[in-house]
Amino acid sequence: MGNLQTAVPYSVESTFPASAEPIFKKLTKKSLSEWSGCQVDSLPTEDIPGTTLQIPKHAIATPLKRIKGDFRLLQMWEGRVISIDIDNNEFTAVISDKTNPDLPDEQVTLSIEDVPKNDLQLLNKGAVFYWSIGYADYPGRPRTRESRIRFRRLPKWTHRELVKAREKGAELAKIFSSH
Amino acid sequence: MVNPEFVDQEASVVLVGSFNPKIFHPQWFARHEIVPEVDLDGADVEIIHPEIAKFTFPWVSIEVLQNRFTARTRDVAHYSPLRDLVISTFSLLAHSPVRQLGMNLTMIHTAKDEDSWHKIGDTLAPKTVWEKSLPERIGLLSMRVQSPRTDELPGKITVSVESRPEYGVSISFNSHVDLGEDDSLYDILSEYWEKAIDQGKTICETTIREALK
Amino acid sequence: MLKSFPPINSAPPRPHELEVSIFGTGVGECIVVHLGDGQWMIVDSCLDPSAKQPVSLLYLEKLGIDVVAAVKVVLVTHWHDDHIRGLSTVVEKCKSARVCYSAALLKQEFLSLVSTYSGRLSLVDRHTAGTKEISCVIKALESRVRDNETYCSGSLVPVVADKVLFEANARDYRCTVRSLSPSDKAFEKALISFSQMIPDENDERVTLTSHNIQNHNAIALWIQFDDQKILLGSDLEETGNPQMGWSAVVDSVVRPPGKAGIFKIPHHGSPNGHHAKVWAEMVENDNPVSIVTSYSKGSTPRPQNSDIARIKKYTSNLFYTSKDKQRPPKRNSAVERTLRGMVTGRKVMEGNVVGHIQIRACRDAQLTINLQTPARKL
Repeated sequence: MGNLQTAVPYSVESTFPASAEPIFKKLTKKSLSEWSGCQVDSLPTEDIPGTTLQIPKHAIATPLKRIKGDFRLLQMWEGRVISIDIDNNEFTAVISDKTNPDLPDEQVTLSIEDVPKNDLQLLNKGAVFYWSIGYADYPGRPRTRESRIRFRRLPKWTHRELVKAREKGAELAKIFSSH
Repeated sequence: MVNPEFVDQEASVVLVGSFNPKIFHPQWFARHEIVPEVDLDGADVEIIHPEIAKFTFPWVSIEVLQNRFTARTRDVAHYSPLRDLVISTFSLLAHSPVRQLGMNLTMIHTAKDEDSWHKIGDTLAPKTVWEKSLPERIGLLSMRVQSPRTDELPGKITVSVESRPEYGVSISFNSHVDLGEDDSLYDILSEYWEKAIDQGKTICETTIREALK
Repeated sequence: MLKSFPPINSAPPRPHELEVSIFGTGVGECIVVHLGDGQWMIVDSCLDPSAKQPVSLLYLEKLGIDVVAAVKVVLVTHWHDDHIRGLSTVVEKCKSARVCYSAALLKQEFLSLVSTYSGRLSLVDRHTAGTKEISCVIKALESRVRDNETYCSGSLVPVVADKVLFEANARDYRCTVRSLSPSDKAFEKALISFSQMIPDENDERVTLTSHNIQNHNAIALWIQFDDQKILLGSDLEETGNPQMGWSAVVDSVVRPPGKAGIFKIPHHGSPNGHHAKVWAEMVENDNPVSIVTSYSKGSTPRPQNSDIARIKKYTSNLFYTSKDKQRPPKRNSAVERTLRGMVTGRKVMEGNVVGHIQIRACRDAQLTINLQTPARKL
């Protein structure tokens, strides 16, 4: 492989109007030329990694601030809630192994205390959640083994979808009733 | 067969279309319950402007230009929530036209020593042609290959390899989809996101493993 | 007098020999019936845990049966996910079969419900089988109807109580398959339930759990093969309403006469599938062969010991498809430590091996029962 340190430096094309320069300078203390706007020619949906790619003429997006710390994933499941027992502060779910998809599903009972406070409103029968276990390494903290439950957040049902489904249902019923 | 180890990885969804960066800010995501309120505590805003928005939540980075939306995460446990975030965002912004979708995975391998590092480069880009005209030891900086998709979606698969310091090799997988007027971003992401990540992981592992043989 | 229990007979049954084969995986179940002269019926569907293929098709193919030509009836007793896994594959492969479906499942209310949950943003995971599988079946049927205008008239059969689904009158045997349920009342109630299950605008998007869905719409079957009578109870429940469930079946004036010598116990032996009058009036008094399939999901796996004790008051010939005792797989030690600290109940949903009870009988001959572990006699 080649040593990046000796690579040819690249030039930058700016896509912002020159009039925006003072705004940018004020906001970010950077000059326009340090912002990117252009993407790679043939496949604009490639993510631009956080280091400099040596492609002439086009610049990459300046890297975002890297999220501090690391979570080394050991195990991941996707779960569906099948029952909730408020009296015992528990819920039961069927979990599918996403790390080893060939393993069979399991049914587990977990404490409601393990659900993040912000996700409690999502704890309903039929709700889907992601459950991951791994090691968390964050600056200034010792390594910890963490279990994270995160409920799936999807857009709510819309009127348009429901109308479309009813129309499809009517269409199918008509097809199947032709006897 | 032992799979090579990777020291870091990042998944991202990139959309090409027409967007209004100034509406994208952490509070908007929390208000619409796309992320939980607690994510606001760890949010870090770099800029919100009509031409560009850049901010992070603890688990995801978002960058929006007028023609491009990128959401990326390094946390493997959040690859599926990343998909959900994009679906939720663009369900609410259904009027924002999206013409292209990229599902990307980058994995970084650190070779055990300099010889292994050079072996990867030499296998992927044999130097016999270059040695006839270039005087010094030649090193591969980056390369890219492309192939058609193997499913029914219009688009391409691209794999890029790039040299990194300290014997690092980065492999980036891009699953590019051209969206027609009748194509649903949500359907495609729902159906293909996990497949794309699995495919990317397999390609990255296979490439390094074969290059080291 | 019954013989002992050898392993499964891998030769196909003789042309005039009845066979009823019941399979259980711990959560899923299906039944395969030989209707005589190489004609077969498949009731419901479950997947082999290793092969991930419908158990019924794997079994028939092992017997050397051409499922495309030989399967004449595919019956879907109800749409709970433990009864329909792999069903779309069965429907697609068994091209000569009449597909018999509870009538309510062909109505707009149910089809709208399934369309809602199989539209965009369907929650794509392995076990939205409750809607994903049934929506695949519907797509397969839709495509057949569109390709063949006359398909519905013979091949897609909406089922309500007291309908003859199959009849054969040959020189060496006679066979009739008749539905006992659902009643008209159950049909109406099902339509109302389906409408209520469709989400409203701004509801949270969750998977459809089958636990809160009633079994009143399930199809119980009566099979008469020469002198043998078989009662397949599906998941039909009894609620005390005389117009629904087992009360409606037992009290029906057009109920077929006679008593079954083979009884597949309803709803995994659960008390809500029990009706004393069914045992008294529809099942032989002298130790009928009774089969219960297990269901290990939920807070109360079935059958419980109390269920077995109750059933054994009626017969000592009780067979159980069972779930082989499978321990949860061992994962990384850090993961196991975390699980031990967090999880108060943990069990594997399905066994590794499918339990199989194979019952065969010829006219005037005794029943033979063959078993594949983990199936056993209780």
